[in-house]
Parts: sequence; structure tokens; C-alpha cells
Amino acid sequence: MLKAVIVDDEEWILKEITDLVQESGFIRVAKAYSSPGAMLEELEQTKPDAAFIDIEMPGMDGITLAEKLLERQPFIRIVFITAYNQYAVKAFELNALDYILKPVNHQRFQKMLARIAASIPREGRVEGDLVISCFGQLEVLMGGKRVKWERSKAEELFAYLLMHHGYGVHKEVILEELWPDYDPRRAIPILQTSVCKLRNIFAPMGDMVELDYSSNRYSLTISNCHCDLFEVEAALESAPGSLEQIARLVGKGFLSQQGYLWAMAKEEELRNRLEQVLRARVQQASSGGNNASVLRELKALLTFQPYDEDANNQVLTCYARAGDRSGMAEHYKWLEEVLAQDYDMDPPPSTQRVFNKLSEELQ
Amino acid sequence: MKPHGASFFVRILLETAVKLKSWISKVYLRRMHMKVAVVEAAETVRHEIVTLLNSCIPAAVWGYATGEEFLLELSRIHMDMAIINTVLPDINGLSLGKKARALRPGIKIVYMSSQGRHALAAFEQEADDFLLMPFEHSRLALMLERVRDFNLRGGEGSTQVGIRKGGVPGIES
Repeated sequence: MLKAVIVDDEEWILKEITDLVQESGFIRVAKAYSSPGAMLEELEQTKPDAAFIDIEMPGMDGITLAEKLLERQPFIRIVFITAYNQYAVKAFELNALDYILKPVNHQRFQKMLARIAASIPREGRVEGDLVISCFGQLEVLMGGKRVKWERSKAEELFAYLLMHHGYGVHKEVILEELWPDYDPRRAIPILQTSVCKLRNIFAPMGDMVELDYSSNRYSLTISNCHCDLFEVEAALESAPGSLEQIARLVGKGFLSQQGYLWAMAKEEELRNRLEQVLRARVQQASSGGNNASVLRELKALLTFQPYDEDANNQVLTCYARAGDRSGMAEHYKWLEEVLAQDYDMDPPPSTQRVFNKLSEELQ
Repeated sequence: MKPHGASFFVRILLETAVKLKSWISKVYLRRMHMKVAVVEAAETVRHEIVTLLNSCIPAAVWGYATGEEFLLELSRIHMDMAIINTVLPDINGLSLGKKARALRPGIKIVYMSSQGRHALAAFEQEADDFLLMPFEHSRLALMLERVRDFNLRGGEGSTQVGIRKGGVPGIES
């Protein structure tokens, strides 16, 4: 059952619309107001899903009221009911669901109600897991089916809020990061639209995905999903076992295929943290004299930083220490290939020297 | 005045950046495309909107000068969205939208017009949006965000592009 509020300064119209809405059977009238101010004041209590609004009213006009309403309840459906036709363009801009002329034609009103009914996200829950991959290309699978984003801003907003998972991000910050070229006033309706789209997309997952808006902050909370970003962050927090898998993910780059500028700082942060953890491990393993585990950690480091000169030299030394000539030669060949392929370059002089010296020693 | 001033290089740089960006999006987004029609009699306006759309979304965008041309094409291929001027030489844009919906029930219909009074009729027709001409880029972006459908696509996973094959030796991928 949806909750609705009605605002009209004429009592008898208020009564008429209230009756029509109540008759619909799927919308309950939370309250009918004859002044816009009172409606805004009680918004926290009523929390309406739909609002039926007159336009020309004393005090505040319906367009301004709708703007304020959308600001606080981005998910609300707005229907204008007015005697004037000149606000229809503005109504489209505000993404109003419908615009009905007075006197209200009952058949027309029913048609509008059917549109509201169609706008309710379908109840059918998607069974199965939510799988989110953020490294390389953003991909969201719900019960094995891929969300088709079509490069929308909703996609970018999702990725952005996922990056700030669990934290409320201020609206102004989002506007600045996602719509840097737009006047914030123009970008707000796009943000609101994207938020609504996200809610609809994840409606089948029930309360597993929660997108909240309070005191000007948007936050995304996801429970029970497989998300590679969460995996990486958890592994960096407390890293038992091997980090190869994590290093491989980070090597793909955080959202690198999406081309989001704001994602670069996050990628840098993840890389730095992973590098620190791995270097600490290399240090620890070499002071313990464990050649094999030094080699393992170095290789993990090289999966996302293949050209690290120091690490490559150390890898060669490790192979030499273990007397593994073919392993050393194989590694050097790999480095040559990678560098030739990506930069058309030879291995750095220090690596060449180390390789030549170690090769001689091993003979 | 020197022909090779700083501004000249800045311009070249910017142009290259724009070209690179469009090229990259073309390469990566070849797989997904929405089909969009722009029905507008004025050639310059039509061309401008088609170009703008191409730069905003991974879509195949076609322009049509008349309603007849558009309907003929629509009867042959599926389209996701039509942006129609309410004033056309051969047919009323609003009734063209109705015909398009009858032909392809799922199609998104967006009207554009320099006549604001047509917006009311657009509401009556359950149009997906109405753009008052001339409109700003941000208004077009808003419309695109609104009309986009996010149906779930079947099939597992996808192919990752642009990732080097073959990892560090000794680590199996």
C-alpha cells in the first residue's frame, strides 16, 4: 500500500481527490493539506510515496513545493492537479509522473492511477547471490543476471557509493565529483533520477541493498554480497595467507575500464597499501631467511607492479640463491617481454647487471 | 602574430584529447548499443542533436527529416527511443509518437518542441519526456538518465578487455 499526501487550497477539491485516491485500493491518503507549509513540516511523519499537488496556491506555488519535496524525498512520485496548463514543461523537468487539468475527469484520473501502479517496483524477489566486481570493469550480477547499465550516471553513482560503502556522502560532494561540468542546480535532478533508478534496480534484492538519504547524505549499505572491493579491503586490513589473488585484482585497476576520474585516488590508495603490506612481508621473510616465501611475496608484488626494479632484482637474487638457473632465466625473459610489449624498452641497467653477474656465478 | 602561439598547441592538445576519448568509448562500448531515432525537419538542429547524443551514450543514433521516413524504418527495425519534434512537415509529431508506440509498444517517446503548450498533450500521451527547445546539454543528460532501462541481461560474466595475458611466471592465472 502506497502512502500519499494531497495539497490543494480549495477544500472541496481536496475532498474530491481524497475520495478518488482512497477508492484506488492501493494508495492510502496519509493526510490532505490545504497549505504547503504544513505538509513540508510533517514530512518526517507522513513519509509519502506519492504527492498530489495543486500549482497555484497562496504562500508557496506547487512547483516550488515539488522541488522541496524531491529534495527531501527523492523517491516520491509527483502528480500535479491544476487548472492551468502552462506549467507542464516545468512538470516534465521535475519528472512529475502526471499532470491533470481541473476540473478532474474521473477517467483521466484512473489512467493516472494505473501509471502509479505501474511505477511500483515488482515484488518478485531475485533468488540468488549479488556479485559485484569492481576491478577492471564494473559488473553487477543479481542471481546470475547482469545489470545492464548502458553507461548511465546511475552506474557511476552506484560505483561511487560502493567505494564509500557504509558512509554517508554529502550531496554537494557527489554533485562535484560526478557532474563537475554542470551547474549544481541542473545536476540535482539528474542525481535524484539516478538515485531512483538505483533503488528500482536493487528492489528485487530486498533489504540486502539499502540506499539511504538523510540530512543531505546518501549512503549505500550492502549485506551478504560477494564484492571484490570488500575482499581486497578485508585482506589489506588483516592479511593472512597468500595475497596473490588480491594482487591480481588490484593489478586490473579499480574501475579502470569505466574511466571515472574519482576512482584514481582510490586505486592509488589500494596500490600503496598493498605494496606496503607486501614489502613488509618481504622484509619479514628475508630476515627469517625463508627464501621461498620471499620469492612468493615478491611475485605477488610483481603481479600488480611488474616493472618494479628493486623487486625484479631481488627475484633474480632469490632464484640464484636457490641455485635455480632456469627459474632465473625464465623470470628475466618474462621481464624482457613485458617491457618490450608495454614500453618497447630493455630491462633497466641494474637488472641487466644483476642478471649477468648471477648467471656467471651460477656457471 | 606568431602562428604557433601557446594557444595553438593547447587547441591541438584538446582536440586530440577529445578524439582519443571518443575513440576509446567506441572501442570499449561496441558491444552495447541502444538504437535511437531523432525526427526533426531542420537539418542543422537534427545534426546537432545526433552528434550530442553520440557523445553522451553508447548508442546508434539516426536522424530522420520526416515522419514517413521514420515510420518506414521503425517498421523494419527495433528502436529503443525516438526523440520527435512536435512540429514536422508531413505529420503532427504528437500523432507520430502515437503511431510509433502502436508499432513498437516498448519504445521510449521523447518530444521536443519550441512550443511549450505541447507539453500538456505529451503528458496525455504518457510521453517519457518533453524538451523545450532550445535546451541545454544538462537537460538532455537528465532526459537520458530518466528514460534508460536497466533490464537484467542474461548470461554469466563478461569478457575483460585490455588486460595483459600471462602473469608473472610461477603464478598461475
